[in-house]
Amino acid sequence: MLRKILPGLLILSLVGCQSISEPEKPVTPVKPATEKPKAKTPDGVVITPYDRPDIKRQKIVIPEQKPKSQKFDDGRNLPAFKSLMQQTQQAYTKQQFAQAEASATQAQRLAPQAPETYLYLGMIANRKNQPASADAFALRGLSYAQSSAMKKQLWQVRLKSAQLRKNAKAIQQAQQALKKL
Amino acid sequence: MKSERGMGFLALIFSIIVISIFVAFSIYLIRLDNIVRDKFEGQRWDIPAKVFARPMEVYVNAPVSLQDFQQELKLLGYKNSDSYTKSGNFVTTGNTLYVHTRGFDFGDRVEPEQILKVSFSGEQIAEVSATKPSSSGIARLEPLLIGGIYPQHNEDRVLIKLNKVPKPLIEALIATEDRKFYEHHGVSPRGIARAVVSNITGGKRQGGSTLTQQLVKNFYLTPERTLKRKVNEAFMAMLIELHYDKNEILEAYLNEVNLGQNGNYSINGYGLASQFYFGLPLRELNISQQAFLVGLVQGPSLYNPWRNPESAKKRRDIVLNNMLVMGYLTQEQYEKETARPLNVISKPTLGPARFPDFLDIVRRQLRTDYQETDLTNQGLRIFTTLDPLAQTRIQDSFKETVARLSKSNPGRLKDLQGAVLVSHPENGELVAAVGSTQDFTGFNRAVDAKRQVGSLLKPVIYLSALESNRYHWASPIEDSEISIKSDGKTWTPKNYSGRGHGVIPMSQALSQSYNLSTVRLAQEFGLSTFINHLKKFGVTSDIPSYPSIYLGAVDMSPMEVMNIYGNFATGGFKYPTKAIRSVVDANGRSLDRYSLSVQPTIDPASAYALNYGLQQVMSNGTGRAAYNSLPRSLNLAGKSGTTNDSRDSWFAGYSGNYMTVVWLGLDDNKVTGLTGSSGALPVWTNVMKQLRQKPVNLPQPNEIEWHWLDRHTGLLSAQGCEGAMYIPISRHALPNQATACGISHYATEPYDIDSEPEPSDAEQDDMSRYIQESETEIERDLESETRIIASGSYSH
Repeated sequence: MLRKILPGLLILSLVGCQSISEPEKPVTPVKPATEKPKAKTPDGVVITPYDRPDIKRQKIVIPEQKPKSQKFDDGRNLPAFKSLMQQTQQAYTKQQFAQAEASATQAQRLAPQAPETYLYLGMIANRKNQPASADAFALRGLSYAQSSAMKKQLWQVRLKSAQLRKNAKAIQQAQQALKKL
Repeated sequence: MKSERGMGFLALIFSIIVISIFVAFSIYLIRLDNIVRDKFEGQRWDIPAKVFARPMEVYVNAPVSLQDFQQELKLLGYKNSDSYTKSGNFVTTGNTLYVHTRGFDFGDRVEPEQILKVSFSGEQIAEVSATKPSSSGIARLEPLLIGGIYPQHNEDRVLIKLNKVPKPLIEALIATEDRKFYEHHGVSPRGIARAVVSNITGGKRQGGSTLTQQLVKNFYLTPERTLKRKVNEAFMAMLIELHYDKNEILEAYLNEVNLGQNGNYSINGYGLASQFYFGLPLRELNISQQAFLVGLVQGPSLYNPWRNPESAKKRRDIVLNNMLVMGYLTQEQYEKETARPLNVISKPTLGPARFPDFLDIVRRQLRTDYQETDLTNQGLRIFTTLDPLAQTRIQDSFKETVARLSKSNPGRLKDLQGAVLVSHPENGELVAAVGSTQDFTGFNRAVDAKRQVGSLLKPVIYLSALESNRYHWASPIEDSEISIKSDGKTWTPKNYSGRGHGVIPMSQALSQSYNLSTVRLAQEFGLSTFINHLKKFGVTSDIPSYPSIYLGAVDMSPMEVMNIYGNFATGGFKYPTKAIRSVVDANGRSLDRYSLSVQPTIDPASAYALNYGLQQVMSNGTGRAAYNSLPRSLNLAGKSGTTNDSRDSWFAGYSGNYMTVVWLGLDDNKVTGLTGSSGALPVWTNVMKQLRQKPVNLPQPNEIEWHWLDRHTGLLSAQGCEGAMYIPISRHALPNQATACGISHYATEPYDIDSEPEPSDAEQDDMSRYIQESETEIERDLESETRIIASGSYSH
């Protein structure tokens, strides 16, 4: 009797512990395994069929957690930050890249977790033909970006950087990311 | 006839002699003239580079309290007074402060002199009004001068324009040194005659030099007292007067004259002398202070106010009396000015005395980009990242805590040394640096002290484990004895307690800094992965390739440790540590901007998970004592380090906006008896308390999820289950089994191995960028003869 119950318990423990549930939960009784005939091979090896029932594996479904919107207490609402970003934008439009970079860097000091500064620093780096730098800035910006619009702009910077580097794989990756957004 | 011929011959000889003398004299004068013009019209002086702290930025909601602002103004030499009509003064009424700023040329922008009204609310600026508001809404105070880059045994000066020199100073100078300055042509015959008579009759030795002659003597000639030099001086003075107007000559004189000595460096010109003696710009000096500076011309050493205050005051009063005699002062003014004390600062603040460790780091950084001569004579202005308020508080706190530790065991810790570095992890800017518990001697421990780092490198091993996705913080790992053979020797690490702890969750191994489990884990990823990580994170020292480096048996400086931890504090990005923001030349042209640069170094999901492990060190591991005096809401992250026999005590950690590394030890590498927790941690905590902290808040990557996992098995669990811990985990590292308690919280479905989705290309790409290297390294390790371990060597 013990010989028949033990395998059952062993099997239960292998099924991701789901059968060894908390005491209050009913335990599904395990049906005793039926004896299967042994088979002999021509080279004299005797194959003994596995006398335990098939292990039924079950997959645990872990619901995917939706990314939570994270709040950063970093000064992106400061009027000074907004003015600096405006100056950055104006200088960038006028192709005054040194001035744009100076304003963006100053803005980054006030709000280090704002993706906008990285967006402009990346765009400036691309314009200055420093695509590796641009890609790094865009990646950093993406780590903070929460809105699709911002992510899209940052991926555009990565795409441009990849094009400048003539990196086919990176171009494809950026294009795919842009498609998803 | 014969006599006529003789006369003619003599006349000829005479003419030849006269012509020769004339020609020789002309050549002499031309030579002198060339000398005079070359120097006067070329670069007149070698101006050492000046190094400035960061400027305080004033804007609405800036994290600056009223006390911070007042302290900054004090450092800059502003006076707390009843009115703010003059620059350099401020008035405080309740929570509002009015300040008349001095203005400053930053190269990229000129900050105007203006009046600011700044209101404070709690720990920040609530409102700012300015007489000359900027378009960005940010006003900047002038940055604090923290030193210069001087050549050995040279002179220093701050150039001033004549129109910026206060009128009373010029009047005092004219009245005392050269009353006929605006009338003579370089020399004063009456003055010379008076000096000659006085010298011959044995009266008081007098100099008959005009200001122009004094300028020539200092500017072109040696100080020897010979007739030849005197003659040269007179002619050169006349030549200068011929070429240049009085104002140009006066301006050159005001910048040239020697007015004191600061160690190896002579103090030249009134611009620097004003800073040196009074800590104020020239235009903010009162008449008696200006008179004192004029009096110094006769003998800066003789009238040194710190050594001979009585003589200095007497000399100042003589100058004031000269002004009275010349009608530049009324009797009433004279009495008022003579009644003033000298009012010099208690200790000169210029030169190598102010924040020398930080300055040393700046100098090293500059020397990689500039030639020494550019730094010592081109008048460059170096704008750094130093926060003088933070630096002052940090160095005071550091010295105080170290003194307390020394007192606790004077026999062993009498000469305890240490270093502190503080930076902003989010841009790599160095905020403060302390390289000694005593005065600066040239050995800057913050960058020069290369010591074993102990457990500080353990996070790198756990990072490899997290990156592999085979481990998470609840994974059970074994903490038991292990021996590793390397180069014919066997290395047997020990835990601090001397014993193993059995099977423990990975988070416990890091937070309690267990050696055995860490080494076992490290074996799985290999030495080259470990070394490559360190190099990638910014270690520049040689890293030996033997297994004890897993436990920090490798020499590194605090700066290198800071580089490593920067990667953790930012969630996987490297911002090179920088001490300089920009360099501006003497004409205000920006030469170099030390731009922000960033580089991804760690897969963001692994970096985020690692950050959790370092937070556990602070909340219930070797760093927990920090929370005795710092708020838990800061979610600090860090790691202690202790080397063999407690020779070195380290702590490295960060908040949301500051990262600090502390090292303590003895210069002779003797045993201190201090662990990372008992030595460096109290210093670290006290340093962090000096700064306005923000909580650690890394952006959570999409791959990261928070789940309840079982600390005994590493399987999925659920809230309320025994041993369940809530941890961040990469989706790729999630276990597919649950504990008995946890299983009921999850839905299940039949398992079909064929239904497992293949990872998408994008996912593969994202991860492979970071993992490939590690896997490649493992393969290389496997192939390499020098591979020391294999997973089979575990002694279970």
